[in-house]
Amino acid sequence: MYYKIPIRTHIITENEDIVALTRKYSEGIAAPGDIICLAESVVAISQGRAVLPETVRPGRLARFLSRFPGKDGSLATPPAMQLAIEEVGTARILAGCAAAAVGRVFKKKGLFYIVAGRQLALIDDIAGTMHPYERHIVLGPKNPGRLVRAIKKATGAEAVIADVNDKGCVDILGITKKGYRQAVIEALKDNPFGNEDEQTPIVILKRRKTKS
Amino acid sequence: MPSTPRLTNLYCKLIFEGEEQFSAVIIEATIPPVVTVEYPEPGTCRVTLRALLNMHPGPLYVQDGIIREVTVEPGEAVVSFTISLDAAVRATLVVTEGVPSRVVLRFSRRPLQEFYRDKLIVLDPGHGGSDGGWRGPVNLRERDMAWKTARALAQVLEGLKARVIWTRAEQENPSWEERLLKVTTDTFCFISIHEHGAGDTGLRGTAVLYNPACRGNEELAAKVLERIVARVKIPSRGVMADGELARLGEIPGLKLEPVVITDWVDEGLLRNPYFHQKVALATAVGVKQYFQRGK
Ligand SMILES: [Zn+2]
Repeated sequence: MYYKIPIRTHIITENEDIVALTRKYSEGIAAPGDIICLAESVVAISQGRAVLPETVRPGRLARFLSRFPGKDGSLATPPAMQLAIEEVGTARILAGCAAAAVGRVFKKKGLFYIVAGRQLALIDDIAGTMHPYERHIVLGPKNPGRLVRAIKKATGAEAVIADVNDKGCVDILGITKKGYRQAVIEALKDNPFGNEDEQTPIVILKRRKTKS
Repeated sequence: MPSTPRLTNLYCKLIFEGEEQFSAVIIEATIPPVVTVEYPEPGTCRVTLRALLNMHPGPLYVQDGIIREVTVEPGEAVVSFTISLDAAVRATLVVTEGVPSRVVLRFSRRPLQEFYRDKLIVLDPGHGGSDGGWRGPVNLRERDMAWKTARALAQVLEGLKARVIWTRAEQENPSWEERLLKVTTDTFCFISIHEHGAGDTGLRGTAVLYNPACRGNEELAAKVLERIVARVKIPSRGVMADGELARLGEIPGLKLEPVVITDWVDEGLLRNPYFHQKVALATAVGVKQYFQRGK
């Protein structure tokens, strides 16, 4: 089992080297066998995947479709829907909407994302992200698998990139050791990445010494 | 783990224990550090820990009515935290074992409770019933958002022992005359809550309107606006005199417009439950700071 150590960081912005800063913040704490977890949104922001909605020109399709998804989730605004269309293409979005409509008849949820693409579920619409990005739409991170391997190389510890929502759902986007998956999901359920005023996008899971 | 503690996290939270409330500063470390606490002057608490710094040392903005701000100064194998306070309160210190170890400084919120104790505050959520007020571009209604913020404000004020009176129930829409009937001579403050609406103009931000017939209300509104804008990090639309509030005469009156609901970025902010709590706490802190100025 693991101890959970959240690390307070500065506000991470575009063009920062996420590997170098993970190494700096975990120095002297994370050792081989421990697991460094990164919040998906911060990785995406460092990759320049936070978009100001004012800069998006939603087309007619986006304006129309944004009226349908669950209003308190993502893609409820025309710019977010526009970015979704740009991410996966019009055809897949329309297929996803059709699947969702069928799903509604049979009371089956989540078909939109299954058909249109799971990465769309990672789009945080405004107010889904912490300051100063609460006014941005944040897309999912690129190449999470490659990034966690680079972090492991730089720190010696295992690495994970994950998305945790406020309902306690943990989605692992990248992990260096598949066998740790369940333990990581268990540890991240209460969202130690914090929300609102807490700024702890790095959480170190420290292996507990087993009593002999 | 190595024997020098490493500091990993800093945050503040409110702790409720029955009738008592505390503002707590919490510093997390890999192992329990050696801690000293001093009060160089009233209203300032300095905490020094023998430790290395892993976390970001930037200041922590708090403004919860007791703690204003926490600043961090790294030194040679020591780290100092300066806690600036609204009142000359002292902390109780607890250091917990475990990973992470927690250095917990609890400050009593009594000075804030003493200020609000038994004060009568009339809360007036705008619109109601069949009158939805302005509508956001996605789906939110001014009526419901004003109600939500008012609920959060009532919770804060009642926790501080104030008496809260409502001008309407959730489904009602009384006239302005009827709303004013709830005001009595011992009313400490009347607080209306609306959202602004402006069509498709891109106008955003918070405004606080005030009762021009009551002396000092412009400054009161400015203080509350300052606290809200700093807390929710939103543009300011300034303070304005409000003709309707002038009917209150000598009784202090404010009308909060936390956002421009017709702007869809502002509408998005209203979906966040913390937004309403933050506006509520910032308002309560701003009112207290105005009335206790120069004390
Ligand atoms: Zn109104």
